[in-house]
Amino acid sequence: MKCSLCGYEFDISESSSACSSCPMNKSCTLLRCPNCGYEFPKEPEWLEKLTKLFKGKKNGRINS
Amino acid sequence: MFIVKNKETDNLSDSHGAQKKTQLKKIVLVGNPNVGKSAIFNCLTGSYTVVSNYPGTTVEVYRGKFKIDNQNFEIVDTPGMYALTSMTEEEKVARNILLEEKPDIVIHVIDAKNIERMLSLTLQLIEAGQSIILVLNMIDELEKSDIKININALKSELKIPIIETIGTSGKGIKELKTAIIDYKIKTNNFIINYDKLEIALSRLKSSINIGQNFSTRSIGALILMEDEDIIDKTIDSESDKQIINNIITEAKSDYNEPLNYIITLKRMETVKKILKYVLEPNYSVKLSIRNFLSKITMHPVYGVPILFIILYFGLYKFVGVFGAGTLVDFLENTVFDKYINPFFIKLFDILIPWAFLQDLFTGEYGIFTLGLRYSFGIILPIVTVFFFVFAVIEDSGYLPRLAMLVDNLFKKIGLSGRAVIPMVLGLGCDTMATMVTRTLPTKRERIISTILLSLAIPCSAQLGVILAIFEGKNSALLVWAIVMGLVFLLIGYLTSKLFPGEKPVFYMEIPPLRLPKISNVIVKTLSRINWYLKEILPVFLIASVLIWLGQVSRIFDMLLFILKFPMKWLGLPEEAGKVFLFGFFRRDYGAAGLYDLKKTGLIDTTQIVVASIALTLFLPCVAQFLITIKERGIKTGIGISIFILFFSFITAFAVNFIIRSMGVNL
Ligand SMILES: Nc1nc2c(ncn2[C@@H]2O[C@H](COP(=O)(O)OP(=O)(O)OP(=O)(O)O)[C@@H](O)[C@H]2O)c(=O)[nH]1
Ligand SMILES: [Zn+2]
Repeated sequence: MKCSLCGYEFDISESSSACSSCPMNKSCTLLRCPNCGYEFPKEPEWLEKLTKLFKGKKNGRINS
Repeated sequence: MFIVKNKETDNLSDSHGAQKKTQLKKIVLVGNPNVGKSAIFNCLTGSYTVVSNYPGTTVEVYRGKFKIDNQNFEIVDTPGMYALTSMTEEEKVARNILLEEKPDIVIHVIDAKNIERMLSLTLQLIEAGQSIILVLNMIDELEKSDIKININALKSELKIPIIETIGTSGKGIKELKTAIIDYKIKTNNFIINYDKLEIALSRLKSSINIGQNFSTRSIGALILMEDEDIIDKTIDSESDKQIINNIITEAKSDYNEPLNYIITLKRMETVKKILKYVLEPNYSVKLSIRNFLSKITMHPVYGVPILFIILYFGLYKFVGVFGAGTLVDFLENTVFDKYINPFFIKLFDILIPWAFLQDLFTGEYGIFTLGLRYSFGIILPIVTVFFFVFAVIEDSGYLPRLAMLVDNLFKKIGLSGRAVIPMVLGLGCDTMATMVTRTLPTKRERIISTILLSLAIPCSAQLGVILAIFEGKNSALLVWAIVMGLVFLLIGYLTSKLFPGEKPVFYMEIPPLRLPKISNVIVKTLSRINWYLKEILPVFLIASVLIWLGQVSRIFDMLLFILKFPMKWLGLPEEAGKVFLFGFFRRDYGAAGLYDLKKTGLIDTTQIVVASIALTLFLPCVAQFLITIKERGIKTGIGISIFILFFSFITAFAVNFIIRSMGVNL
């Protein structure tokens, strides 16, 4: 995961620890950069699966 | 290269006793991922390396041996780490190696061109009392960048050996070996000053059990950052745990932000201070187009027209004219008016025989005819286009530059460049942005930016609709924009006088400017749309139900009746009251209502300007209102809202009065 504001690379688990004091952090779907505090929405699961599918196909083409 | 895979800890690291006898000195390589640790490791060891999983983990650790002038060394390549506060498994392993294997020398490898980002770890290692050699790797890339590092200045600041290397070619390895052989342990190294936290740090000293490989000062800082692992490792008795908990609680009461943040910020400030004397511009590099653009976007004078160009094309042309004009036109007038609405109206005519219940779904304010049409026909196309533009800007690295650019202006209104982020996000959705104000470091900044967000920053949907409404009426748009700009500056200035406080400090690393990647842009746009839909759809649908209930119970009519008066003062038709009522559910909902109202042709251009001004300034929507209360407390939240309610009407009234009495025809 890379912060799109400051370029800091971090782990998703680090992101939630940055908001541990926030009462809404359980239901919150935003990711928060531990370095600069910028928040952005998490990539939804369906999109993640879709990108994987895309990449998988591309690799397949290269291999064949 | 000879590599043995081995699940158990191999005898290289197990033979502590033997090491002492043969004086096998241990060297550990640490540093961020991808700085070239492995390259340096290979340069030093050459042939013999062993890879094994760190006990109890799946993290691989490389170990090797080498000789310098007949002296034997063992060297360990650790997984990448960003800071001593470890979060990921890899970072934990790296820290545990430092803590438990007690290396004689720690080589901190950094990517020289990113020294600003990486020097904080050097400071932390010095603080931890490690014997460090700092390796500035990738010197070849540094030479192509626009900075130069004055090594002597850095040496005299840090008082540790510093070696420049190129891991891929082996340059500097000889010097590194000499530095290893000649290593002399010194104690007068650099110290970070933590201001008020110093008291807590010195109080912690007596509770930390001795014999750690990290200094008590460093462990103290980790404890203040509430690192559970470290607390478990270094605090023995329950009573000591109680004591340190008290110290932490007390230290926290001095600050509004988590100590974690305070300590990190102090370190970053220290790095900046050091680098002030160390970094020099590299004039020999010809300014590449990228560097040129990067500089000019942050330039206090030339940066401004660039910002306006981006706003003009990104917001006005693309979001306003294309998104709110063309797209909305198509979805609204063709898709919804011709197909979707008639379909549902027919469907519910058949399904539900009672007219009042039919209204809930397909009436004037029905779930389908209003809620769904507003959210999918008007708001969704606008925010989609906005999120797309935003993702392009975000991915290009322009945002941090924008923050630097407006830092000067914002300082005058009590904010720092950091506040740009919630402001820009506010254009997306003010509710989201209000939550982001939490990240601002001072209470003063948080209050000022909350007020500005609720007042003068329209959300993208609102902005898009307003741009669409003003299409072809540029002078009207100009009046609106000028009023908003003045309000923003005036209120910012006044609130900063009202809540005096320290001038905010603002540091930000500036990542390189780059061409946005289309895949990144798509993923970011879709992620935001996904998030936005989850947020708005329920609110729009609930709003439709509430309005229906309000209608059935006549409360809606009563509120409209009350709103008739302020509408009259503003010179607006009665129908505009509805728009304001909608606006309270969501700003974008209100804007969509205004769009509808304009289509009916009931209001002239001056009225549109006045209504848009009042509506933009008008109360934050319910969601934002609740978030404001949650973030700022009930008193501040309600105070801000009441102020805004009056302020928006007074401003709109004044604008109407001025335009009318000057007899200007917009
Ligand atoms: N231009 C340049 N590239 C280098 C230099 N040193 C290493 N690299 C390259 O940088 C990349 C990362 O190097 P690694 O040695 O794998 O970095 P690392 O720190 O071990 O990375 P992790 O294993 O992820 O922690 C590789 O592609 C290297 O070839 C250098 O001095 N100059
Ligand atoms: Zn960041």
